[in-house]
Amino acid sequence: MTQERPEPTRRALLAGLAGLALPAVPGARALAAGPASVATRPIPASGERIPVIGMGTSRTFNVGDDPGLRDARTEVLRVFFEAGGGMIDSSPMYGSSEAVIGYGLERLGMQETLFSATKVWIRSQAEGVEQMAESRRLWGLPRFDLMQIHNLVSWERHLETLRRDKAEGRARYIGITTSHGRRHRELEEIMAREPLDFVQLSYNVLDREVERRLLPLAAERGIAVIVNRPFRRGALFERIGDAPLPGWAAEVDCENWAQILLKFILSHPAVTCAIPATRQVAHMRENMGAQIGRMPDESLRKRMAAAVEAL
Amino acid sequence: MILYEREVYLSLLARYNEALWPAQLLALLLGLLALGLLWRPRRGGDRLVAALLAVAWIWVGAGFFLRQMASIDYAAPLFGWLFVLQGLLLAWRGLLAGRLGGKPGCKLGGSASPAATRIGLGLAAFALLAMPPLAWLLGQPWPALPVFGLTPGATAVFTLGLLVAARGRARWLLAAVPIAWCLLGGFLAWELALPAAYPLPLAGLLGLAALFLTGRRPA
Repeated sequence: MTQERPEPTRRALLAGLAGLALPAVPGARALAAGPASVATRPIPASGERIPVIGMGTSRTFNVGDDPGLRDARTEVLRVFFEAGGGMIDSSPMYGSSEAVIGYGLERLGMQETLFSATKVWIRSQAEGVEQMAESRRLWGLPRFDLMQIHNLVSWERHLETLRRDKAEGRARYIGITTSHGRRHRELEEIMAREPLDFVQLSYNVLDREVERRLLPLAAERGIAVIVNRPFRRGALFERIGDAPLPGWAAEVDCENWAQILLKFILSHPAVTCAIPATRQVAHMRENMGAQIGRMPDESLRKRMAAAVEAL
Repeated sequence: MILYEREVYLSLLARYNEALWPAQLLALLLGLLALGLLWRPRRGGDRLVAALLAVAWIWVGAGFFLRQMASIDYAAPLFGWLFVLQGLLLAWRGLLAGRLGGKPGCKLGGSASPAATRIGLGLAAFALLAMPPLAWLLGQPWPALPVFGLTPGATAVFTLGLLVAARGRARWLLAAVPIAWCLLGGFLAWELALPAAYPLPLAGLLGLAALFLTGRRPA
């Protein structure tokens, strides 16, 4: 079943209307002040800094040709960039998502902070080259900031292409992805021996297996980490329901559960950015608030995990 | 895992039906004609019904899956070609060989047991007449409704109903894809929260049971 996230509170909505209100917590105040104060993390391979909250587009941006839905997603993009958003991650696997991103970027104009990330998802190496060219066309970009190999599909062959593309300027960084917690052993072997700029994996307050080997290995090898499924595709919100925010939420400038869940992820030192997906402007504002204000320390991380586990 | 959301599917279905209007009325009339032939078999009726079903499956494969759904679902081309293949099978067995069920020239309905005819007629009538209003009553907005001959679920159940009422081993060959789609369609409906399509697996299993039970009778 489709998991729904609760509608934001009136207070959160008001806080999200940047500049129209002066909310009571530092996170929202900073968001209202504009994107200059958002948290960024360096990409270990270059030192270039990117905002810690990006945006996933699986499902949420796969709206086909419907003009109304495309315009609604463009509005989500607009709010994302207004709040200082950087990385947008997609894949040819996500149906029309890349075309819808391209539609939005064309209407909004190319954004300075955009960090474009997509994937190659096909078995054949030759067809992979064509697929990546098609992705550039759909996004309306001459090159991608990051090109990844989707779920390790034909990774040895595509890695050859990606290295060549990086050398020839069709991609600035290269990486490899996994999701759902699958094929971690194989990913670990690849990370240990192949030069990669990025890896993408699933990590959230309840699915923490990557803390044991993959995240430490990424830190050791200087590989940037993108975290997908930070909300378990919405299932965490179903679990949380209408549980009140814990008292300690204010200690890390969190106004809602989305920000608690995201700050838990971002407070791991090996994580570079998280890419929550949403189709709603209000949820985008909540998500973007997680890149503002204080981050939890180890002791608070434990309390966060315990609080969600107890629900 | 489904990579599109309920509202996107319904929007696509609505625009698809809008673009095809009034083909829905023609599909309804042709479906009623097929039901009439099931109820009161006529000479040559098998071939006509087989031709109708073949066109319906090929249209759903090409028009719905390959043309519409492929933009949001990477699995749609696979489903599309499967539906086209099913249409070709129906054309081959029913139209060219004149054997929708068993022996050449066998009549729909009259050649199976009365119980099988009733079950088959019930399934086909459900697909043709009940599925669209049921979907509307359960919250799918007009025109995002299932239609025999244009959308996969109603087409699969309708076809299964006619096959249950036919006779012979060829029914199993022709019923495989409709039954498989009923099961898969039920899963997709559950994932997308479309309660009107929840009966699909039940229809598939009922059709399977009816095929099995009537298949044991001497031909």
